[in-house]
Amino acid sequence: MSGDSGTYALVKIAAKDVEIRYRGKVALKPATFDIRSSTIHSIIGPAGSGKTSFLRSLNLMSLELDGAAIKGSIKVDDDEILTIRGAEKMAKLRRRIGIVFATPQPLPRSIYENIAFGPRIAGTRKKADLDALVEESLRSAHMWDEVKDRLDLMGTSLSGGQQQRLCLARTLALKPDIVLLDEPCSALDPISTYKIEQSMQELKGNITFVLVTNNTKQAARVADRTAFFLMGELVEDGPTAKIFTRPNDQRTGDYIEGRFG
Amino acid sequence: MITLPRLPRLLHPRHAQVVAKAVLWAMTLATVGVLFYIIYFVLRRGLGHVGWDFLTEMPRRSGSVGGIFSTIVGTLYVTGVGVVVATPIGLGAAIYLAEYTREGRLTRIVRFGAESLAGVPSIIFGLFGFAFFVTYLRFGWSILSGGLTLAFMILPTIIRTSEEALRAVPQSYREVALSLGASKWQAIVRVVMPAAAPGILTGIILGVGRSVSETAAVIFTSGVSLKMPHSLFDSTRTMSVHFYTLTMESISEPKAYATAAVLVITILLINVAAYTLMNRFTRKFR
Amino acid sequence: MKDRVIEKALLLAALSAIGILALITIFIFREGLPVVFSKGPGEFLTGTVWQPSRGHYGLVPMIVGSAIVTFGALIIGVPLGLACAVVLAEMAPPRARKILKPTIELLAGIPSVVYGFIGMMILVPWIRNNPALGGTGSSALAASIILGIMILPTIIGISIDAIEAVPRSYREGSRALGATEWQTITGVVIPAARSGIVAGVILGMGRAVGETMAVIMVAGNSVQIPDSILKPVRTLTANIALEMSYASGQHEQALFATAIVLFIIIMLLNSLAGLARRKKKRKRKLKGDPAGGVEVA
Repeated sequence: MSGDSGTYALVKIAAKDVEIRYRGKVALKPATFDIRSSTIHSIIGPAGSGKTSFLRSLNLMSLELDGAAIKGSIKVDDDEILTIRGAEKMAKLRRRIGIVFATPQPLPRSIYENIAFGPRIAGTRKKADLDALVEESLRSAHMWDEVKDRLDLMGTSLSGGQQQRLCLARTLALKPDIVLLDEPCSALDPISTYKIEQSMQELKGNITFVLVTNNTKQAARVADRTAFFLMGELVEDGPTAKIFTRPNDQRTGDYIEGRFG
Repeated sequence: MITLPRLPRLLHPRHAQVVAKAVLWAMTLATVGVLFYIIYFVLRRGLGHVGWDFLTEMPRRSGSVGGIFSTIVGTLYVTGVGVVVATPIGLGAAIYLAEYTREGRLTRIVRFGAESLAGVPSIIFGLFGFAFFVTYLRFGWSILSGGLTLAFMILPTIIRTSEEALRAVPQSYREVALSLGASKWQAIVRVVMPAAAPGILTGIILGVGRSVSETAAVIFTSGVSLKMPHSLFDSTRTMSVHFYTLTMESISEPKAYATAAVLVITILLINVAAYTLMNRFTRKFR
Repeated sequence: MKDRVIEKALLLAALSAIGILALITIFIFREGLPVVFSKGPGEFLTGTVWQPSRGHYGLVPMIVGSAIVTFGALIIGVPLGLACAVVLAEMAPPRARKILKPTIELLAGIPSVVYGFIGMMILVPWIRNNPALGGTGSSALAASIILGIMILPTIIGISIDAIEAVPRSYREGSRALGATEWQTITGVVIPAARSGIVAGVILGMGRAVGETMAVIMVAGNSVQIPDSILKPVRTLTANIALEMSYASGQHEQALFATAIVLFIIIMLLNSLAGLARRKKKRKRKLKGDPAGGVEVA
């Protein structure tokens, strides 16, 4: 099932004519584009552009929690995910496709337990395995040295930037092959932002990142490819350098240069 | 229909306000005064007769001599059965209302049921328990009949407080749990319920309080036996029922006061516990 | 699959309350209806003689008794309850409120037998020995006073919720027009919270009608239509509780028939209170105010 099972898939996520509605209201008009394996793919656009709706559809959270109706097709490693139904199958999908939310959301428990939560649910019971996972995940999120001596501290008592890196580490502990990030740095200081971007760069060999951001500079810094959404419409998608220097669409250029939104 | 005392026009509005506020405050303090007086009265006359013996000795000669030990045990058993039965059902109902359904016809029916049940007088619960558990199901006057009757009676309280507690848990907790690969049920059990636990516990404690103070519903279902109960099918007399009997049959005034003091202290402790928990819970999420 | 089963089980739990209500209705009616049919409903609802040994089951004295003590309880409980609600919701500083509110909630926790006992020990002798009152003391008056206190937590709790649901903008608008705090409370806040307060009063009535033990201990319990509030009365609830321990056969059925009357009164009151509450919500929703529009139809 996972990405490295024989056939090397260049396309990790294939979205075809994806249309998202909430109670009949269109949040995203039919959009088609691919997200390539082992890349950082950013999605930029102003508020209300449908980018978060799209992101939350990739792990079916929009379907289960927000009451969205999704049409079209989203294939992950050639497997259709929009036909997945039932709480357990959705849970299984979310272990492969992790997500980090806009505001840091540590659970009201210790740093260790925050990270061990996902693996425990997935069936990892042995203390040694969990210990190793916790350390590895915290290292990947550039946090280990800061917190290794106080893993029993409440996750909620960390600073905002640390909380968000904890959330990233918590997602990494699931060993996902895709990580979705929903404006993960919108509430962070520059140093924490830098550390998160650094983690993404280091990990993208094994993990495909989909980064929704309204910070165009961040997209330009880290993304290999960029898609631009506007008012519920995919305007264009391409290599980041091209989108930022020679966009096909006038609106893309206007947005990037800050003429609206 | 609802008009507060209108003060004469000749009074300047600002003076009228001063007078009105004073009157309202006086009424409020009077209400609180009544409560404190009740507690003071019962404890002052009763505490002197309460000692270790009173709590640990069996009642003899209808309770005119000895203590109230078997009625304490009876109260614990009956209340225990009530809470053990009502908690899973009430919590389940609350989870369904808060987590599994949107407001609609079904929730209206469920709420109507719970609200109506909350309004049913305890004497009707007693009669029903007698007709259904004691007679129809042949449980007899027993701890089981009384406990099940109480379970039905405290169910609405547990449903309401648990639902409120679950709804107070931030939506983000659910999102996080789901995003980390928990199924909806796992998210509820591992994240939402622990976060709501103090609120849920408050509801259970309030249920215990109602059970301990209840008389009409248990007197016709658990009976009045003063013997030590040995099984769920034995009849027993709760503290409240014992107190009622001591008073109405003029068995012993000192024993009645002492029992009242024990009852009031129990209720005070229960309410303080519930209030403290609730306070801590609401502070966490606001 | 597993989640499906769990959801079904939870639905079942959710339906338990309405199921239990149905079960109670069935068993009370099953036990009580036979005697109603054999004697005719008229005997119960219009008969003034209750003599089970001779087959007379007139409930009028008990219905009147319940009505008198309930009405009396409202006369005492509504003004006091409203005063407390207004003080707690509008006037008390937060710290005073933090002490007063749980204290008043504690009133609801005191066992009804303790209220009855206090009534017996303090109120009844006081009425008996007061030259302006007199009589035996065990009377409709004593029951009314005790019930008036007992229904306070219900009235206060629901009224506070109703007052707090009144949008802040109403108050600000009124104050901006030069009204004093007190004029704002009487002229704007209470009218806006009216349906909620009415719901609280109706539920308080329900509690008063349904209270049993405290009433038995102070009301005197003679079967008669009293000509003064200083005379003893017997309520519907007292009628059941006093005779249940020794009744059998048709007599026992007649007590269940008493419960049917009581049950119908309570359900009517509950429905009325529910209507009053929903009216408030609907009104708010029409005005587009989020405070009342939580329930999505």
